[in-house]
Amino acid sequence: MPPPPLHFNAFIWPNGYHESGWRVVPDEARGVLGLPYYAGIARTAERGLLDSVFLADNIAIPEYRVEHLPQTQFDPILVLSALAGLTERIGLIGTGSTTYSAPWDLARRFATLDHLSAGRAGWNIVTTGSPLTAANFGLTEHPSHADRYARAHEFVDVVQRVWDGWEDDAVVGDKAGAWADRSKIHAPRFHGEHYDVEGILPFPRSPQGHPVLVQAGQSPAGIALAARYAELVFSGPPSLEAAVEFRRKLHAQAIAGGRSADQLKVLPALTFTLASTEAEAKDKSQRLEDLASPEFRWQNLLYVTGHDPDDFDPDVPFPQELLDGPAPTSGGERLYAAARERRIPLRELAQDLIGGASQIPFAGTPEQLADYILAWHDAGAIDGFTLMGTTLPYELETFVDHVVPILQARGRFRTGYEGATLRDHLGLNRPAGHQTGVASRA
Amino acid sequence: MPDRPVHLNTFISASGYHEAAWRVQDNDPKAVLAVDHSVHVARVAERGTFDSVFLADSPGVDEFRTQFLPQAAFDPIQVIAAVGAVTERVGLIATASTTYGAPWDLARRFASLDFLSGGRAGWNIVTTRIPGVSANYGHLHHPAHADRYARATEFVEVVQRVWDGWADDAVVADKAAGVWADRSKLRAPDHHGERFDVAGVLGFPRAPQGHPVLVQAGSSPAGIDLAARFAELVFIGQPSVDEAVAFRRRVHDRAAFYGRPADAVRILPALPFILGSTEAEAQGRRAALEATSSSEFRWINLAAMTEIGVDELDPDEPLPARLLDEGPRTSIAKTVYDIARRERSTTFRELGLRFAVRPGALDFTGTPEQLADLIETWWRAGAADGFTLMPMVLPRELEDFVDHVVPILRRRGVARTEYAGTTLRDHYGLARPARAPLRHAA
Repeated sequence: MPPPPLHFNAFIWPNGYHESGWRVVPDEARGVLGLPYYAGIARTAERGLLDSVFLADNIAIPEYRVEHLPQTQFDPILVLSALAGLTERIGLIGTGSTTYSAPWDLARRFATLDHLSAGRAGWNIVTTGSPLTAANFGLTEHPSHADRYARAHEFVDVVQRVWDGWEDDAVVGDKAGAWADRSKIHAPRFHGEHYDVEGILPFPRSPQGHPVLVQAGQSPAGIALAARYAELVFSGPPSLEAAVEFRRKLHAQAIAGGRSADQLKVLPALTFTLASTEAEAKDKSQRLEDLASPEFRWQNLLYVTGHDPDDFDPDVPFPQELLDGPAPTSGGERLYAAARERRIPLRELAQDLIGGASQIPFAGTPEQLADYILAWHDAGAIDGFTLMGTTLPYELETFVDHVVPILQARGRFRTGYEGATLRDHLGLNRPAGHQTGVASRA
Repeated sequence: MPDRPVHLNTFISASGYHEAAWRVQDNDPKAVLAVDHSVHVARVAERGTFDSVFLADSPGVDEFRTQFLPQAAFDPIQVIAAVGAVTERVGLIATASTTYGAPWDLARRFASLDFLSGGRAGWNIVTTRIPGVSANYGHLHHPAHADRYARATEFVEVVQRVWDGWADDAVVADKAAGVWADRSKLRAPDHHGERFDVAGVLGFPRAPQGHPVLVQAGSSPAGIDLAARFAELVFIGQPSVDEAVAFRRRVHDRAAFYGRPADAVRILPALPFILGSTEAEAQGRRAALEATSSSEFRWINLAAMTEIGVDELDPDEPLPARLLDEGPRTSIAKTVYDIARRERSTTFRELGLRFAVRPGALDFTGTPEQLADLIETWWRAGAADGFTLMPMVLPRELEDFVDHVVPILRRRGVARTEYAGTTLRDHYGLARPARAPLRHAA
């Protein structure tokens, strides 16, 4: 039996995922503010026959970041909408928050993207970790982790009902009669605990039926959400054994919920630096590290774990009173554990904790990376990777020009796109749509 | 003679502004669902050196409309972003609601569009008239007119403060020092008003145009007041030169009241049109459209435009006396009520058939020469700075306009022959807003 296909998703970030990326690339530093930068990456990914490109989202910006990192956090769905017309096949995955969006509106945005791209849209479902966000959206406080996940389940339910408002064959287009058959239109009329959503979208069902659902949470609640809805998962632990176990458990949980394991693909984040020799790659990687700012590191560690860095003093240990409560995000648990164990200044603690729990760092040659990917794939740890090049577009270009051909030569990666939609690329079924007589879940 | 060329903006509708347009065209009635339609219209407009193209918004739809009209009301900001990716110069105006949007999110979307398009973004500010929309957003009631406008005023103020969060020169991009932006040049909106609380800066610098161009099209006194206060383009239709001259003066006076120069506001009345190479041919084309119109659609649509419930009248009877006694409920209903009062035997269904376009607007049927005359007359008389074209059939009417009306206007020195600048502000001759001075504590 041939091995199952590999899948790759390219993460787009200004000048690369490493915080020092923008300082080492030869490009004009403001280039990341224009569409050509994004178009270049998407076209490179498409040239490499990757499954998708992916944009994260931050809907609150702690001001410390502007000093250290290029700031280009446009509305990701708009960037992908612009890319839709400039690309042919590559999948377009954007992040959207269930805590700070209205479900009808978000359903409309992703269904619009699916239409604009002829079936290449995916939605990365996040509940938004940063408490700073509340103040941008008029809330007095950021909802708790448990609250956010309770809402997320209902949110996704509603969105799917909105996407199913029109049956696939509702449009008749009879010039002497009706444009659409109204008996094939079913308003969601959803009245749940958190949301009330009444009406249909003002356009027919999208090409994929539902844009592909993506999830990247690490907490038990995040994993439960993924097992129930996600078709693509971007999370996974950094060691091979743990990754095998993570994927196995995720599949088991999905199967227990009545889903099929092959409809849930696991593509954990892979941070990588490539060069023609291993020594060169390690040097390149070290150079990025050497340029990194300790100031940025401690502030960023706090921010990504759900804190406002402006509230902290880096020269004293992490406040004891916070450690008495729960960590605000699953990523924060690692920080809290370390801070309980070592009462050293926050700045020093941060230096030891960087890298993040979820990223797999790699520095080496294309040949080594191909071996690495296949080892993980053969072990059943992954269906592929979410590629986080330390510098962009360079790491991605090297991946496409040098890693992809090796995988193809070994018969492990596609040599052409077989289908047109993101579901086609990933081998995911198209959801059936409205079932007459099926009662609302609410 | 006006010191600026006539400004041209065209409405991109699904198959044309006339409700029967899809019935009389040869193409596939489902073709409007592909983005190619909007792209084609925009490219034709660009060939005609138009200032801008414009998309309306319907965040909700009455189900009855799906039978009568192609439904392709995708998220307009996304569609216009996709159009922007494959055009070079034409301005990109999308509609968005202040009643159902969140100001930080909306500010981000339009500023994103401005970056992605290289400074071609415009926001048509609406308060959303369709009452059914509230149920899609979980609200029990559609807010009253006065409420919506009070909210709109604060909303626009917040959005402008969000757009001014970064100074134009905040980005330093010093690779050697590792400083991307100067944090001291950020000024968080920190808005805490009656209706909105919005704290933080956007995750990217100030937009190329400073502020995307603000547009308004509401014709009620509150709408006109909002226009005078904020709008740089006004799309409100007027039926005659005299009324249009008076209206334009009124807007200028009101703008002066708010401390704005008269030339800060350009008026582009809505101009629905059908063309033919002879007047008889144009009339024939119009008759063909009217012959395939649905009287059922027309009376229900007229009821919606005049804010009369379908259960408040019998379409085969005249407008009930109690409605006449109560008086028109909207500014555009006045035209309809005036006729109903004059002609007490005309049924509401017959009234519906009179209005192929919005009551009280221009409605042109004729030759390119005649249309060029109308445009030139209005422009020379100071009745309009330009027009918002509402082609009755798309793309045909617009193609005919660009191929046959634009050359006449160019020959007469009325329309531009090439683009002088690159941004939407350049095209309309609008000043780029400086960052607002610090606001004193309220």
